[in-house]
Amino acid sequence: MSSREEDFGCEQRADAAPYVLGALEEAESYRRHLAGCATCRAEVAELQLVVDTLPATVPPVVASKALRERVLATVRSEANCSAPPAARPTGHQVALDAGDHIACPSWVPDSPSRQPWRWPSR
Amino acid sequence: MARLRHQAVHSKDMLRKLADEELMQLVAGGDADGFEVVLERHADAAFSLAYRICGRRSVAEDVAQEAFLALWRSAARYDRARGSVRTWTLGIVHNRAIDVLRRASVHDRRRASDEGLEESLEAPERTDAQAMSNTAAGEVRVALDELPSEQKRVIELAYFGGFTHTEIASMLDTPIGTIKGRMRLGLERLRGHLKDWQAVGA
Repeated sequence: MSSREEDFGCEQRADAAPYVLGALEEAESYRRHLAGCATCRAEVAELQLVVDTLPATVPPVVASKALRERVLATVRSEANCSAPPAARPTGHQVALDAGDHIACPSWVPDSPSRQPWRWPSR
Repeated sequence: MARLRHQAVHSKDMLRKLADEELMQLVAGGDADGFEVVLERHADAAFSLAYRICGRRSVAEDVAQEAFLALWRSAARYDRARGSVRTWTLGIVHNRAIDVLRRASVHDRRRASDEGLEESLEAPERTDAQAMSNTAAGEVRVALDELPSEQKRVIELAYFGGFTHTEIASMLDTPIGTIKGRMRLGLERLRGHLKDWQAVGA
């Protein structure tokens, strides 16, 4: 998608980088701005792809067996004692390449302290 | 749920052949075996990121645990059109780890953002270097290391250190606009590398 020429002048475009890094203090108002600004949305989408690769730079360490077992024990008890945690998604069946995580645009689900569409909360 | 449960996909071997995105459909339907395979695939990456950010094994374990339980409980909200399961999972981990950091003291946060900290704390077992340092990861690491140091610094302070742009500006005694600019320049330079190796077929 190419933006119209006048869009390039958006001065809030400079906020895109700190925003995707989770460092923008005015993240909430920028999020609102994004809804109406194609230039900033495009910038955020591009830079987000880069930020999504940053976890690959950390020194790899092993998650302990105890951690896995704790998580699984909780999950199994919840699976046994209750209905599915949520409704099933509307089914699409096609498998994607599971190795494509670096290149994909990202999003993040709600967590107790967060809004649906982006992760930095300040 | 009943229908899914009675399918042959329930053998572990069958589940392991499924793509992450397919597993997530099972997980959204409450399938703990499907979840176990997702956990197997991403636990190390999730814990590694949490440990890099939090700097303490016990805290990182809590963060990783919470993140996977969030994945389990909100799997139905996963949308493959918006990213891979790996990216989604690591996004949750990053959120939670940064939340924890921001509740911690400035002192701890500064330490956690220092490079080389891993060595000074009780170090968890390293993974087989081959297993996680695939070519792509290695290249991203090299690209980050090759950034001008002032760009690398602001990116690391923000993403791994949990500092806001204002905090970084004051720590480095540098104008806010300059900090934002360094972040953008650094990310754009990384993006250049990214495009190079995507072209090669990553």
